[in-house]
Amino acid sequence: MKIASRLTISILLLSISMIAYQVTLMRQLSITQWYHFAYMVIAIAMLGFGFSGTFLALFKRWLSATDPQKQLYVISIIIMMSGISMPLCAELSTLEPIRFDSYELFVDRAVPLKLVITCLLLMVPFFFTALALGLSFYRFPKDIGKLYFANLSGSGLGAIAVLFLLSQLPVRPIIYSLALIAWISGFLLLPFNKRFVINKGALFSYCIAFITFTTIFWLPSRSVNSPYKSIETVLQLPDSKKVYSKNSIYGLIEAVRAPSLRYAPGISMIYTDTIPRVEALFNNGNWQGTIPLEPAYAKRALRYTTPFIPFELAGKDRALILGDGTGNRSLLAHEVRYIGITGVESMRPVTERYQAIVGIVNNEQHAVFTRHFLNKTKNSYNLISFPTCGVPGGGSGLNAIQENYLYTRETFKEAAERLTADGVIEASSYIDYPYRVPLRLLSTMFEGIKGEIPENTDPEDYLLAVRSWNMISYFFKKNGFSPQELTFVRQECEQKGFDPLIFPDLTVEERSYNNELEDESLFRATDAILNGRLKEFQKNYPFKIEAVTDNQPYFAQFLKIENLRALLSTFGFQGTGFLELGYLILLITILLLIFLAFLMILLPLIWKRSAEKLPLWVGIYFPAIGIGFMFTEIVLIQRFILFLEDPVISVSVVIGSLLAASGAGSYFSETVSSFDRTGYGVFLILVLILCVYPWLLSTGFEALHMLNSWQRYAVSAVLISLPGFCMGMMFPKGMKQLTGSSVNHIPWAWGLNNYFSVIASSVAVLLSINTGLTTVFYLGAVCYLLAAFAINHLQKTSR
Amino acid sequence: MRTKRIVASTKYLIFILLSLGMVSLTAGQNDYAAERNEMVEEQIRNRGIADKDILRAMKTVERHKLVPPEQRRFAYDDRPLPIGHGQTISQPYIVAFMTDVIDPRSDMKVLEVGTGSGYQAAVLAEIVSHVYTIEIIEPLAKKASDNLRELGYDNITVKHADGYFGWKEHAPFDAIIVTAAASYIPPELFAQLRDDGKMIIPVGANFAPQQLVLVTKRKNGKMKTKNLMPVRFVPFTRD
Repeated sequence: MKIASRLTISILLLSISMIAYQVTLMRQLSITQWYHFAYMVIAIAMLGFGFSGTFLALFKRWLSATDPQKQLYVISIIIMMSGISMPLCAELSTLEPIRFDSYELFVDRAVPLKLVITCLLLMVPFFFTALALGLSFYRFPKDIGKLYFANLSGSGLGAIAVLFLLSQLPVRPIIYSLALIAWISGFLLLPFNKRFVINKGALFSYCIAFITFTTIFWLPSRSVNSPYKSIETVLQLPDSKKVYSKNSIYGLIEAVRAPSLRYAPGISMIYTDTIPRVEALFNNGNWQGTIPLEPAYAKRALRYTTPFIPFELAGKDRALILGDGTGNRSLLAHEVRYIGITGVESMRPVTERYQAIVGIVNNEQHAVFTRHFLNKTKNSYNLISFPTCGVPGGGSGLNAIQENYLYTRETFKEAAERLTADGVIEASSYIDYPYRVPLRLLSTMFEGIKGEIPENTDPEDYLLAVRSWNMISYFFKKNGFSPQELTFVRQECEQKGFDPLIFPDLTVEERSYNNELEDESLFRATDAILNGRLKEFQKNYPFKIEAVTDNQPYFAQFLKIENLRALLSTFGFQGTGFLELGYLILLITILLLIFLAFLMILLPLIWKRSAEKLPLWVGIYFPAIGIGFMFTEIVLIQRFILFLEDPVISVSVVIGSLLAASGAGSYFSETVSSFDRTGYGVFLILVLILCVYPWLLSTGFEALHMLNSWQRYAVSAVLISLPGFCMGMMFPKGMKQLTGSSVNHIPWAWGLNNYFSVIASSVAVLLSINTGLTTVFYLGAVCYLLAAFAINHLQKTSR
Repeated sequence: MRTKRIVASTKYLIFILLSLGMVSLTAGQNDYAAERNEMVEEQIRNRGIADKDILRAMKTVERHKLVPPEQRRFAYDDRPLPIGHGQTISQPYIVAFMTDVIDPRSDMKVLEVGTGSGYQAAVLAEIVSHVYTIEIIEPLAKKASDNLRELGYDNITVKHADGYFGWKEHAPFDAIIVTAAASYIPPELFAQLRDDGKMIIPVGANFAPQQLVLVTKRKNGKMKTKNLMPVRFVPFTRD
């Protein structure tokens, strides 16, 4: 077989295993720590890629061989090292004293250092993979189109294949299997006569491989979870035991039972009966909800929570329970005797577990994304219930960077359109302090439903709110509340120790008769939202509480970056850490990456003074296409969640389609000799696509909501492939340009491209949060425009 | 002659080493006392807690003897510390604050749910008549019981049990302090609270700034709550 073909197959296999390893590592960190650190894996991978470019620039002579067969031999050893280091580094990172615990990040000074060491350790397999790829591109530039195609299409395949693996197997065997595939891809690259010959390089690789892969049979399976993870703390209870465990694409779903495990958040203090025993459900070790083991008690207890009031107020024909989760709202609907109950919960394993214990409560159950259901249903409902927002006692901003299309202005608008003439929307929130979640819920809900409130009427005639000691329920009635209904709400408050928060003609004293708050800011903000004075109020309020939209679907992102210093001085570093953890982790990650990437990618190159003759176009072109690619990828993932109904599916469909199309683009780029007219045409098409997409996607998603899942995947693949194909052409074309003029700058180009890709992957999220998804699309377009100008500059100067 | 000299030198050396050991031991004790004083002044008094009994109690209780050896050097830091089993000992200020809220007096009988390290119980025991404390994790209950006995507290009774049910035999209590965050206020505990009694409970979930809620039992048996402040407790075991 020809060298190019062997190398192509090897790179294809290596790319499949590497992207699958990356996703598996994300799952592992989600289970043992938090998903934020899982997100960091993307940046770690890119860091490894960037460092490899620098390493290649510095040691290219040492790694190069004139004989192509010898060169293949060097590449094969590097690939095998990649395979070996996959399980080795994953295992090492879980051992003391390297292992870090995210809980202690803000309280133990040693933990940040451990985090850095972990990052560097996890970077190693990515470094070897990228080194093999970079060396292949550098030494076989004529075949770069094919090789890049193998790399990208392999990555696309791996991204999809790993979803299947993760839904079937635990993390550890997957990592070892992927490592084996990577190792084999290196082994196959060895010249046949050297495959079974013991020589200096191969001997080392074989020995390490043997030790690593056989270790799996002796190493006992051990828990490396943080002891502070929800599941671990529950397992500390006497006689607790894990009763259920299932791998799914959503994560590792586990259930724990203990005789003393009871749960009833927000229950009235007047309730003196037994608090119901529950089975606790976890996803990747994080609290997912509880399933009542004593449904009779649970139903009785639910009557003593604030959501009971709107459930009782609505007509009893049809109830729609959005984000049904572990079925508590369905149980309440059953308790107040709704005739038809429809549950919508996208995580099927959670519903299955719930139904296995409690039985089938709902008349209809849909395992789809809530927005998708709201779009598609033709029915009207007397009651539409949203899952409770936040966590008891207040959240720590963990979900700040997670997009959530359930609590947006558009969702509430759609929900209001699905109500019967006398229908009720119920949305509840736990009370935090400083007040953020309930206020944001109110402003988002109010923005969504205010079109339904007749002009010149008081919002309090249509929207009420009742507060217990730790929960607020907001409820909107399409045709307004009658005097009898208002009396009922008052009676419920008196009997159950609740206080009205939004109610016609409410006095200050009535608002906190049973439950006093820390201060009055909740009341002031509530009034400002209802009276249209939110903007004015927001100026002096330290957190963002304005309505959430589909363009910036970050419900849990409250931090005003300009207030960070003030927050730090009020709450201290630890305190702020527990208020705005998600956002702070993102910021810390970006700073850490900028520093590490500079240290490992750019500094060595600068130190070697190889930058002196770096052409200007290289310094602009490769960073610009790196940033442009990552901006587009991240924003497409976030935007397609709405259409593909699920974040996990969105990640895999976007990455898979984008990489496969980019691979095809790079293959096609071989036919385009240089940056001629066709080349500029590609730039123009790409920039146009990125400028039109924000509008096209939101209009298209609405128009295509009737499609079934598979049709959606197909449409998505086409929509993603269009920019993907064009973007895939950019890197090999730039490289080809270098092979013609200055081949020595290839490692520099590789390094720069990766350095800016590393940073752009995190910055894209930060920008989406602060400026919205549309702006990030436009910024991606600007990057590609910049790249086109760089090429234009090159051609002008070379003339 | 030479042997005598060696024996004498050895004795001298042992004497020096022992003296050094004693000095360092005393210095260690003094260091902890100094750290404790500093903790009270900077972390407690400076943040507005002025009750003399509480300040005295915080200056007296040897917190470093209630934390695991590897955490001893951080015992008086302004932060919670891990004590094993996924649990922590609360930040000193939170202990002082919770004690302050129940307005402790020498004739009071207090129930604590969630013994943990035993530090909160020890602080209370310096002020009130008797502290009954319940811990659901057996090794922690045993360790705290042993440590508190060693420290000489004979007005603290530790029980390994589920705190949800309270301690009926010793009810009613003048005050109840719950140190483990929960999602609800256990009805049994409320029933065991004397009229006009106070219960303080952190409400929240893992990795979140839990809310400290004060529950007061009105004379008519109804209750009134007051959200006090966001605090950070260990993610505890019930939920």
